Formats: sequence, structure tokens, C-alpha cells
Amino acid sequence: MSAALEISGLSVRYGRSTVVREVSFSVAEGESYALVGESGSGKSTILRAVVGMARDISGTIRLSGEALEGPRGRGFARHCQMVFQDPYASLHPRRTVDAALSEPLVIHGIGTRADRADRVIEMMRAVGLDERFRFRFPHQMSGGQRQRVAIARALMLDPKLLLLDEPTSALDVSVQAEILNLLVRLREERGLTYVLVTHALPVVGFMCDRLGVLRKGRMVEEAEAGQLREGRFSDPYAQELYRFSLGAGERQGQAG
Amino acid sequence: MARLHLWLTDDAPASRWQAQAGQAFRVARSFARSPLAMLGALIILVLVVTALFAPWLAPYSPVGQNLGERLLPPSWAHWMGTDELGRDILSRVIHGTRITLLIVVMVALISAPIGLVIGAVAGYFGGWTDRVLMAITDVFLSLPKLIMALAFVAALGAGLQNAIIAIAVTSWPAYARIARAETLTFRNSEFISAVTLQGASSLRVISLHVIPLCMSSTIIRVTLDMAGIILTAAGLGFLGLGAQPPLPEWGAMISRGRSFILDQWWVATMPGFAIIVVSLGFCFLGDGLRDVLDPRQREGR
Amino acid sequence: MTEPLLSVKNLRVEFPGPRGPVEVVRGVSFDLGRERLGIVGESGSGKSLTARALLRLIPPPARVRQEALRFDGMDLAAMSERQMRRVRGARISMVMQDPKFSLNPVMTIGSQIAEALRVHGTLPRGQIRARVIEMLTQVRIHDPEHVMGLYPHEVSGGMGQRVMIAMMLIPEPDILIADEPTSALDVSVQAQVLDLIETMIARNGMGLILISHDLKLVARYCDRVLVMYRGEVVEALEAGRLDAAAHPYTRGLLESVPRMNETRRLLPVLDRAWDTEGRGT
Repeated sequence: MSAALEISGLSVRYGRSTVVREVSFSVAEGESYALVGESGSGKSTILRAVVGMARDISGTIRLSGEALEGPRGRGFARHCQMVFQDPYASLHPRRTVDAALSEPLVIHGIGTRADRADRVIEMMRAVGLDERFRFRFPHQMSGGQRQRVAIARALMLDPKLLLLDEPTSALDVSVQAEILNLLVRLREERGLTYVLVTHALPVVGFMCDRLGVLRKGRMVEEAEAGQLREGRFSDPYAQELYRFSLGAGERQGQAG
Repeated sequence: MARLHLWLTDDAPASRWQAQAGQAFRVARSFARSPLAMLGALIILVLVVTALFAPWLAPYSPVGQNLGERLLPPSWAHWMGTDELGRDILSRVIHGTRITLLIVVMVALISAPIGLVIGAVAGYFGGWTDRVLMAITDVFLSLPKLIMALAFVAALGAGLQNAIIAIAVTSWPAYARIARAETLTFRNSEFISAVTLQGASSLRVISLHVIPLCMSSTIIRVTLDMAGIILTAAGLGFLGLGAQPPLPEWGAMISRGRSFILDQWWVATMPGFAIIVVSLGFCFLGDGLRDVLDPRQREGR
Repeated sequence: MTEPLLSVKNLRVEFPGPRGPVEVVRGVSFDLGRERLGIVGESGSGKSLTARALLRLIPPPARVRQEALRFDGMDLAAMSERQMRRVRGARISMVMQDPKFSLNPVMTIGSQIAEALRVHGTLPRGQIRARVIEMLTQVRIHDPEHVMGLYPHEVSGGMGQRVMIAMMLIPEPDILIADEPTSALDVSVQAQVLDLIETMIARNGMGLILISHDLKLVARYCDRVLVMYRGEVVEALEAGRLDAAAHPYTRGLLESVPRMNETRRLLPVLDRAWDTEGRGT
């Protein structure tokens, strides 16, 4: 069986600067993989390259064995979806939840009007949104609620692979826990494959099986989640990142 | 009333229709807080009502001549006096509202959509499409409005219809510029990426996602431009290239009154006064709309 | 007992809403000496508004009321706007979240710091440059002469935040308010910036109000912590004794953060049962 996502020798340039250099990794079907790094490490750019939003790229990207080239079509949309970082910017300010969630179905000509309404309500329930939110505008919802809408929208077409670009970094800590739990539960229920981009190592420890550490566009180390929990990295940068990411309390705990 | 208010401000609308009504209510309420905007809206409302009911409101016929009553000063019988053919000026001003409104509405209906589409397409696609479309826009934009309109009317022939076309042709570039600038601000935003990733075509993205967001700034600009449109139309009328006699077009009326300006001031002043009031009304309304509709002031709550 | 440096009693901030005024800060009281106080809360808890209210930086239509707002023997609430300007920056200064938005993009860093000196100080012209360089060195910028000539977009986030701190500390204020000073920065830079604030505060013997959503981080850098929720202080804690937190909200905040050696299958979600007024997420 071929990998859900296989990237080999990927380089991405923006104008004259190279943001991603020769990055290779593969994510197995049903796996949850994390790309970790600080700002400027190129981690989000890799996701943009996968969905075809980065133009100047070299190397190959394979989705379930099939090489991706040129503009991504409708088939791609049904196979792979993305959840963005900022739930305030990723929802159209003038469209209700109902409009946002029905849109993918309308685009792909799925179901009648009544079917679509059913599926919207069903998906809202799946992501833990009460039905009374259905006709709200984004400005009538909290950040956590918006992110639930964004996740629901990404799942409307029943994709296999979900790309998550810092899905909780704009949220409050208590809301972050809810969204992380939701993502864990959805993966179990729907057998999804995740590629998570984040700067927060603890989040990786919570919801991923493997991770790749990026620095200035290069992948410096790949590790299992178990290694991360114990802090067993071989690359010095990865070790440094680990040390800084320990919460203040845990740092004291380790020292004492 | 109280129940209607609760229904409109409900945070959990039960239907599409309630969500929309609530949105409209929020806009209307903040609009009502500005006195100048309300004054502008009132003036435009009076203009529209007058235009609708002109034949019933006007005390005399707008074209009926009465050479025995030439150039009478304002009096109880003729509130705004009469002109050189003995026609009641008030009645002509009242009937003139129809022409003014017709010009304004037609110009807006023709030029705003053209500008909106060109601007949105240029902003969304960028690159060569953008450069070519904006070059064309700039050419139109660089020519003075009245001169352009004059040239068009000269080519097409004088008349109300051609005046409308001429003004529309000269107005759209401003809207294209605005729509493009607006589009660029959210062209790369995540909600546009999200819908593209769902497989939406460019046509769909532009018509359902981009254009609706450019709408409010265009509406504001169109309203603010109304004054300019009225003045351009009056200018064409004044030069005899717009509405033709005996149509009671305000610009043409001023033009006729020009010969008597020293002794019979009211002939030119009364329609001029009407032009100023209506122009001001549109300006106030536009300013008020800008305060409520401008997305930069409406983000968040 | 001597009067504390800053004393806030029953501070309230309300905004007009579609259904009548909404109170966002609901009776906050605290005293601050030359110590480090942390205010922790999530978005909408009123923590930033509280800080802005101290400097009287909340514009209408919001309404601010308080029983007392005293600083160094002065009644801030009764001061004129002009008197207030002499307090802001000079005696109480504030570092905001993102240096990108708080630095002037078209002025070089050197001239912006010099500007801060000129507005508040009486330093002779010739000494300004030397003072700016000294200050930049203090915030651990290694090549101050070079950095002075740069524009804000030419420096990294961490560097920008250090410049901000230099700018805020140059008039030698009595209190520094830092509103999420590191949440826009990378983890490796966060610690540097906070350590810097810590040493500068200790050196100048100032009071610090550190505002953040991160309870553990605040506890690490402060002496006392106030936990805010929905405009109220729900708990006040000694920083060293987070585990003694009694309020369910504070406990929830501590529990719901994933740990590095995470083994829980699901994270405990904040139970808002105690919050009778209710607020969905």
C-alpha cells in the first residue's frame, strides 16, 4: 500500500529566496505526522506546496501514490483538505455557518437542497456545534466555535487527508484543549490521516505519531512521538527547541 | 415592538431569513445614530417621493405656456415664480426630479457593475490581466469627466439617453479602482484559499466571494458620486447637450435662466437650489453609509 | 502602613451593546508595590482592558468607573488629560503584544528611542545619542550603532520587542505594564525577552504588571498572580503555589494544557458548571 502523502526532494522558492530545501518525508495511511519549527522554518510553506498554493517548486509530491502536478482539481479537493491557523481570517465575514458548510457540497453538486441541509446539521453535530449556530455569522461566534466551523467545512467532502496549519495557536488554552480533543476524536472516528504544522511541541506529543523538525527550510531530524516525550533528539537544534518548549513548571521540575 | 427587537438582535437566528434581517437591522441602527446621514436619507426620500408623485404634486403643467404670466417673481400663486414662457418654475423643478433620478439611477446601474466586475477580475487574477485592465481603466480615468462626456455626446448626438451613456462611460473607472484595491486586501486571505481548495472555480470565487465584499465600498462611492453625476448631467444640460427642451431638466433650466440672471434671478436660482440640495443629500447619505458599511470599521463586533 | 505605589479599587469598564451596556471589567481591585504582579486570563477576560484603564487609554463610548485609582499619592482618575500624558510613558509605561504594530514603520529605531527621550527627558542634545546606545546595550543588542540606523521591518520580532523594551524603560518609569509581550515571538526568543524584562525590573527597582494567557509562564516571572475570568478576579495566588489553586477555573487552566510527556488520551476540558451565567466556547 502506498503512503497517504509522500514528499521527496521538495524545494520551494519565493522570488529569489529558497524557503524549503530538499525536504523529504512520507506519511502512512491513518498516521498523524507533525512538521515542527519556528517562524521562517518553511513548515507552512510545505502545506501550501501540497495544496498547490506555492508556485515555484521542484521535487515530487505524491498523494496515495499519484504524483501531483499543476492546478489541483476537484478530485484533489475531495481527497485532501486544509484547516487554517486563524479562525478569524478563514471564514468569509458575510456568510453564515450554513452557507460556509453547504458550499463544498454545492460546488461538487452533491445532494438536493434538503440533503445538504441534513448533512450540514450532521456535520455540525460531529464537530460539537449546537444547531442554533447554523445561521450565525462569524462575528457572532467565539474563536473556538469558528475553528469548529472551519474543521467542519474541511470535512464536508469526506477527505482522507487533513492538513492542519497551526489549528489551535490562535485560540485560548482551554479552547485549545477542546479543539485538540475534537481532532483526536475525528481521526479515530473517520480514519483520517493528519499532517499537522505547529510550533508547539506539547501539542505534537498529544496528537501525533511522528514528527519532522524543520530549521531554515531543511528537515534536521525525524522522530517518533515517544522520543519527543522523553526529549531524545540527536540534532542539537531539535534538542534546543525541546528545551525551550518545556513549560516553565516542567523546566523547574526537571532541574529539581 | 419589543418582540420584534428581540427577534432581530437574536444571537442564534433560526433561519437564513432571520440572519439576514438581523444583519440589516444592525446596519440600519448604526446608520440612524448619525443625524447628517438621516438628513441625507430624508432628502433622497423626498426626492424619490416627489418624482413618483410629480403630476399630483405639481400645481401647474411643467410645459404649459402662458405668455401673459412671463417672468413673474415668486408669489403665492407661483412659489418659485415663472420663466420666460410663463411656465411655473416650481412645477418644472418638481417634474425635473424625475429626470434627475432617472439619470442618477441609470448611470449607477450601468457603471457600478462594469467597474465592480473589471476591478474584481483584475484584482483576483493579478499579473497580465491586472495590468491590461488597469491600463484601460487609467486611460479613462485620466480624461476629465465633463470633456469625455462632451466628446461622447458630440459623437452620439445630444439627448438624455446619450447623456446617460456618456456619464456612465466616464464613471466606471473609479469603481474599478476601488473594487480592485478592495479585492487585493483579501485576495490572499485564508477564506478565499479555503473556498478555492474546495474546488470552486474562479467564476464562483469572484461572483460569490469577492464581489459581495467589494459591494459596500462601491455603494458608498456611488452614493458620494451621485452629486458629481447630477452636476455633470446639469453641465451637459446647460450646454444644450443633455435633455432637450421642453423637458424640465435642471441644468437646461439654469441655462435658459442665464439671460435673465440680473433682473429675474429666480429663473436660474430655483433649479440651481434644487441641484445643491439633492447633491448635498447624496453626500450626507454617502458619508453616513461609509460610517456603517466600511468593513474596516465593522470588523469584530 | 505606607500607601502602595499603585492602588486600584473596584475598577469597572462597560461598553454599550445592542441590548444595553455590557460590563467587561467588573470590579477589579488590587495594590501594587515595587513587585511583579501577573494577570492571567483568556481572551475576553478583561485583562488587557484593565491595564489600559490604568493608563486611562480607553476611549468612549466605553465607560470607566472606579472607587479609587491612585498612583504614588496622585489620583489618576481626577487628572486632566494633560497631566495624564506626563504619567504615561514617563512614570507608567506599556509594552504591547506585537512590536510590528507598536513601532513607527517609517522612523529608524534610533530616532524613535531618541524621540522617547526628548518627549520625557531634559537631557542635553549631545548626550541623547550616547544614552540611546547605552540603553540598546542594556537590552542586549550587541551592535547598537548598526541597529539604531535600521527600520522596524528590518529587525526580527525578538529584536523589535527588545527595542520596545528599551524605549519604554528609557524614561525610567516606576511601573512597566507588559501586555502579552512574547506571544508573537518564537519559543526560543520568548525566554530571552522575559529574562530581559526580569533583570531590567530588578535593576531599576520597578513594579511590573505582566499580562498573559499563559498561567505557568506568568508564575515563573511574577511574585503574585491574579486570575481573571469574565471581567472578575476569580483567584489571587502566590506564584510559587499554583498547585494550591482552589478555583475550578484556575485548576481547569492548569490541567487543560498538553504537557511535553503527554500520555492522556483526551485533555480534560474546562468544566464551566460553576459559571452560572454561562458562556459557550
